[in-house]
Amino acid sequence: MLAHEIVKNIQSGQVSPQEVVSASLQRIAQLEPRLHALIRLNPQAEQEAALVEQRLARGEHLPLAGVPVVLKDNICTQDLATTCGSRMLADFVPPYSATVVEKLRQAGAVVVAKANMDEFAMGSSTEYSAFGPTRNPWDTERVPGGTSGGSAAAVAAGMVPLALGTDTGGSVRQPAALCGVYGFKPTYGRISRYGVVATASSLDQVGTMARTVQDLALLSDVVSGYDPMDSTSLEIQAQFAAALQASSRGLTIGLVKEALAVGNSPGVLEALERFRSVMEAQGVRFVEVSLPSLEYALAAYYIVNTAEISSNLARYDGTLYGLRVPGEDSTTTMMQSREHGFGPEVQRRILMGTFVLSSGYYEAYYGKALRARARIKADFDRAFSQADLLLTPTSPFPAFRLGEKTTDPLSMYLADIDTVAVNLAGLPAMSIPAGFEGHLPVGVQLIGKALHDEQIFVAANAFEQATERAFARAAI
Amino acid sequence: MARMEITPELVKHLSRLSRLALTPQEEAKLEGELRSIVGFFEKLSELNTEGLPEMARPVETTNRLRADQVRPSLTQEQALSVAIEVHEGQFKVPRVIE
Amino acid sequence: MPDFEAVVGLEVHLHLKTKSKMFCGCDADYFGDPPNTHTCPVCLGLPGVLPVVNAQAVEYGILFGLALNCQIAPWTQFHRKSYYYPDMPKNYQISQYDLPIAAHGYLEVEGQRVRIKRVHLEEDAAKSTHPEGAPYSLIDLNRAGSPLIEMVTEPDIRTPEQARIFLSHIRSIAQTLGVSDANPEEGKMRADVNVSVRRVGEPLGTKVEIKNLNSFRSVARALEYEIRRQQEILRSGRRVEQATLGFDEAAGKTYVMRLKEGEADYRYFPDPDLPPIVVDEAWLARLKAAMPELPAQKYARYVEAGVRPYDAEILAYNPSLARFFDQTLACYRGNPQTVANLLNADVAGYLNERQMEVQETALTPEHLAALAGLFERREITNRVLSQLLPEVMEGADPLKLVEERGLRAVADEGALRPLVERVVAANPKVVEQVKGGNLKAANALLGPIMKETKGTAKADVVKKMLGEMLGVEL
Repeated sequence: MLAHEIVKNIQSGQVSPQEVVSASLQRIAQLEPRLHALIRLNPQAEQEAALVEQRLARGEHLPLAGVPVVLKDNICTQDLATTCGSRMLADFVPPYSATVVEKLRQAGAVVVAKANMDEFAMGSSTEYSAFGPTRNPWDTERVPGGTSGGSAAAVAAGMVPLALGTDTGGSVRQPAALCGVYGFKPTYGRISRYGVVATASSLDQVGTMARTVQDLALLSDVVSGYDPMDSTSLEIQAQFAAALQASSRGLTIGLVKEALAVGNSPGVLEALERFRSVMEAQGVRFVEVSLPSLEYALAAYYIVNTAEISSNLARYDGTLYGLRVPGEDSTTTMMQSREHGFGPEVQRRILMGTFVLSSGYYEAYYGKALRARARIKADFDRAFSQADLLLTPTSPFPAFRLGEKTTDPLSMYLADIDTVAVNLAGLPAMSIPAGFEGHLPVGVQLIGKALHDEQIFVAANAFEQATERAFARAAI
Repeated sequence: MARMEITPELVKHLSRLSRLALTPQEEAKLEGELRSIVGFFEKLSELNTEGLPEMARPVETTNRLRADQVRPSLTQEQALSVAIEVHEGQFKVPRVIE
Repeated sequence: MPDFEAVVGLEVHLHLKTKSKMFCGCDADYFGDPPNTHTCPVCLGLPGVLPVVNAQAVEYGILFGLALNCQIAPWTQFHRKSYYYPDMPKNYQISQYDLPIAAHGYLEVEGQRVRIKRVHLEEDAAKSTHPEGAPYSLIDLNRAGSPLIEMVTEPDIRTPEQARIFLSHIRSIAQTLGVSDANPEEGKMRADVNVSVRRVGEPLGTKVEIKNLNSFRSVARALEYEIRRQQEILRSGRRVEQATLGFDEAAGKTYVMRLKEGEADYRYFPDPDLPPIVVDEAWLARLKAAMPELPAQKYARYVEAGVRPYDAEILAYNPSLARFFDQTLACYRGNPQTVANLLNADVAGYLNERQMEVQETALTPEHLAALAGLFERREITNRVLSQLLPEVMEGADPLKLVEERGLRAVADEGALRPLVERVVAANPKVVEQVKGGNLKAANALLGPIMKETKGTAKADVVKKMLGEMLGVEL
């Protein structure tokens, strides 16, 4: 069932929150052995469903009443282990919940599980999870994408209708594309980061995932909004559901020249073509735009990303909390704990990040990357003077096979080519299921002007309506 | 941008600086990986960024200040619930050598 | 040693007097409370937390910078300073780097200008203890995240005494502004010292850092020792080694804590979690208008009123004495210098002996004014004043005491003559010594006269009379 259907049916009394949650848990039990989308079930899920029922009985208005959701395991849930897909935090139980979790609970949603992810949100396939990879529901020999692979797979497989992930360089959008679901990253600051374990602070955002635009809007409205606990949080009122009333007629969409020049696989090109023709028929105008510095975005991104990672992950040292591998003194303990607690990709990025920030190299790498960032932002600003939205592929190719890219770290980085510039510029973007390459889903990416996230929903909704949700079906 | 040499000494230095122990095999492997990643970063030197500011934050906001009000703290029990080791209300950690 | 010159800079940390911590809402007043009872996920550095800046701390930083004649940065931001230490939960400290909240100021100390390089805001670390002989350390995070001001001077200080007075002035300013209690004994103010020695005219010598000094006097003593030590090294033709030193209070000597291996790489970068702070003209104007009168301004006002600069500086930089001084002047029509003398000498002596502030005694401004008046009009002698002081400090009205006990100064030679003659007659040996040239011996004659007159006899009058009687110049 879709989320908005669940809410309607619960409100009308046709079904109870416990029944819905129970059905979700059953489906999870059935599919998990094959998919491994999840790290841990919430043992309190059924009790929480019962509580929702009581609140409804008291007359409370709950926009997500009884809807089962899955949270990427880097989102802190009080009293429920939050591992970030890492041995370092394998047994870490936070004494507090993220703001987005409070908002979900407030709205009546029920967190049924924590989803699998690449360790500390570094990767593009969920193969870097310390607890084993997640498999793509459309083809279990292939990856679901990453780093929010578990969340995407859970939604695609119909375990839950809604999920939260995090997106640092495409980590919600790319798995959404590879799993055939919607994945949305808001303008930086529109969804609170408090309680979301930091990977790269100036790039991270919580992202929402669902199988339809309406469900996506429902979820996005609930979790968005100003949070005084997050200094980067913006005071913007979310109006995603309201946006679905608007027509896309008269919008201009810019096709990004440089994104098309990259080697995109045939299914991707076909999906872009379909999107264009469907939308043109809706009265949307298409122009070609250029982001000349796009080819430098990957390098700039990985410099900023690794620099901030090296700082954000410094706290994991076996001193106060987390994994400790005891040594003879505090320094040895720190070094051993981190060696054992972190996987190879995390270690690579920490070392790289330390390097780009270190004395003598800051200007050449980090300073340079921050200026390149300004350049990339300026390119986007210029493109947005010609178009309301920008169109690119989400990923140059559909889901690749497990093990295909893990031998060469760089090749994994190159998979992010369409998505990273968006995080650098802090813009909103959404991956929209728009086709198939054989049996594998393909997504296209719409990028919006800063703070104009709702306009993306208008366009996505128009495409979905016009194609009668042809690409939003469950995988299994 | 200077042509940066990733040497075994640099890897050891970074390992110390980031408090990350590495086996000799890991050091050797990382040397190669870091070299290729830095080579990839070198691409940035082609981009003209003269006159551009260092954009540390993607969205410009200012003066996000909080009123000086006391909010409830965690109890000692809650704070220590995450601790690896506890001793008389404090976090017990390996000996610090100056 | 006029050929050598000490070059001293100070780095001061002040604990700000805010209600909550620098980046979270935990109660900043943890003194005396059990460990880890003033913490939250933010100051514990747990996964997922974010800092939010305390507005009051920023204002305190600006006020402090203004009081030190600094330029306030119109645009300022926080940086992350990375280093690994168990008392740093995040293994980085949120601090400031190239654009501190205030910079390029100065403070006058005994007429000499000490330049202030910078003033910035940062968070404090947790408290770690290392039990003797144990293979572990203990961490209490009550202090973690407490708001601090760090202030760094240029190396303009030249003597240990100057350093001590400078620190004392900083404390006064902080207390006057209300930004910090600034007492080293409670750990609210810490000072680290950088010192090098050189021959006058030569380039700067190697500097050492002295840390963990727990009082201003320790700062002065440590500097005295270290400057001497470095001078001896240079005299013998050797080189001073760069190091971080501690100070052994008991022995009065510095000792090496660790040799400096070169600069630590803190890998500063702007903290992406904290938007920059813009201090516009309106904000600055509001703060300037709200500034209380600073010690430097009090000093100028006192000097203008006729108080000697030396006394004016002491009073101006002692907030509690200054307050009392102003209250007394409000009901006193005589020479302010008289009141200044009383406060700085007699009253200060009384207070120091008992480790009290003047506001903790029963002395009232009115009574002090009365006492000053009596003395200035020469209606009581210096001796009588000293006698009366303890009781006046405990609340007695000096006018009443003088009347009740008949303590008015006696200058009437006629009234005094019989007594003076009697004492001279009773001490022939002393008289002989005085006549013989030992003028100091005359003090033995003064004693009994003073005793009999209960100190009311004016000493100069008595001396004149004795001199006339004995035929000498006293």
